[in-house]
Amino acid sequence: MNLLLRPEFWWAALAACALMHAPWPARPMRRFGALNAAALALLLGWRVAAGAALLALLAWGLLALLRRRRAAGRSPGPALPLAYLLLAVALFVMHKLDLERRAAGGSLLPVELLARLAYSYVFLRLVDAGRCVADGLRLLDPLSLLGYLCPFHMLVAGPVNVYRDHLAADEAPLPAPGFASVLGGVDVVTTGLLYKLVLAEGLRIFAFGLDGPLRTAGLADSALLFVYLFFDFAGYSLVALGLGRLMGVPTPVNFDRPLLATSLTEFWRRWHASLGQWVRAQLFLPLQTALVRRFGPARARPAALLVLVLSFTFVGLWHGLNLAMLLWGVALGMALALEKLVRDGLLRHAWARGPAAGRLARVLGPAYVFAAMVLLLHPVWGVLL
Amino acid sequence: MDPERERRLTAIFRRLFCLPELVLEDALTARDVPGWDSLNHVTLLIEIEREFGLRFSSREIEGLQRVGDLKALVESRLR
Repeated sequence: MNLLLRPEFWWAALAACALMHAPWPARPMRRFGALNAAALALLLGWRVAAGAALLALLAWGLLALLRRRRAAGRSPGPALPLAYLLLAVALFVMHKLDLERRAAGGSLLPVELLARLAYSYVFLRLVDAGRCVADGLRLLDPLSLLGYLCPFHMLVAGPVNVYRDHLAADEAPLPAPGFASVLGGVDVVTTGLLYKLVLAEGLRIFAFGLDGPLRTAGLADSALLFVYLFFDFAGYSLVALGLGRLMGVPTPVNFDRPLLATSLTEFWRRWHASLGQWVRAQLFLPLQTALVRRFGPARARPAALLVLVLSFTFVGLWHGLNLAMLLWGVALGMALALEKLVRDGLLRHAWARGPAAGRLARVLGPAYVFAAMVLLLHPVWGVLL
Repeated sequence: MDPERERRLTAIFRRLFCLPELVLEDALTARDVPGWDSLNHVTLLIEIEREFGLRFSSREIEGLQRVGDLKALVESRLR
């Protein structure tokens, strides 16, 4: 059942908003960790909450060992970081394969817990936390880490919160809520509910029927599906963002008017922006930097294009561990690489950098992006839902 | 920033982004320079590393998006 339609979700959210600002002696993110553990138990049952706590404890243990070795002046060696990464990846593969089996009828693996915790997002957070701690940032205590890894208000559809932001929020006093900030948070939550429950659901029922599957037979269906996906996903993200603001828990903006993007590259900066920022920080920049340092700036362009395709291949596989999503990710990466080549070619001409070209791009760009995304949702890819 | 270093930094920007008239004002960001996207960002910083004999950390490469911050970082490393 949709989490947003469950009264317990809203009771948990209201209680967390009020109690986060109550005068407790604990640090803000430890306070959230405790409230979040209770919310997880209420929403998902005590077994799932205990499983989430165990996962956080395991991750914390490995990261604490890594830090202890560093503090003792010893090199941590490859074993600990590798064990941490292998744990995260193995659970990710298990989770994704299980989702595939469910889609084909029946779950065979006992990993209900991972699905209920939306492990695809937890995986990204584990990697971010691991890298930050390896870079020397402070390790949160296990309860605060649980709040970072499995925040109850981001269970449905993320976004991907940032370890560094969570840490910063833990180190500063929680700002006292004022009338304007509460009203602003409520406004974001209600806008999200309007997106999800009215616009997305209305469009879904109109286009695919009350209980019909989200299948597309042609371009018109794909266009409707694209608009539906926007309101659905942006709606969930806004609810999470608003609740995060009300509680004082860092929750990133996930959608920044993506339908106004003038290029596919810009679209992916604005659509599911938190995933884009994760891919940029954890995959794209480190890989590209390593390649350009290795082969020199003269080969920077092929290196950048290769890493771009690899990064979007990961995005495809993150959405679904199957051949269709692999091909979809490669195709998307190649489309972006082609766009980059054309754009760089155009920018060599002075007219393309002028204001008239900018105005033209603002008019034609969104139509081009919309058409490209509709093509990428075409049933020929077989990627849907 | 030291004028000679600023001249060398400006030359890299002008060459990389094909903008021979570009003036490196501190407030300039990646959004203001056509072509300074995430694909060219790494190339820019590695050209700067090579020009000044520096090595940036991955966090620095990730975070630098403003010319003023870039100048300050180069200056602090060369001091």
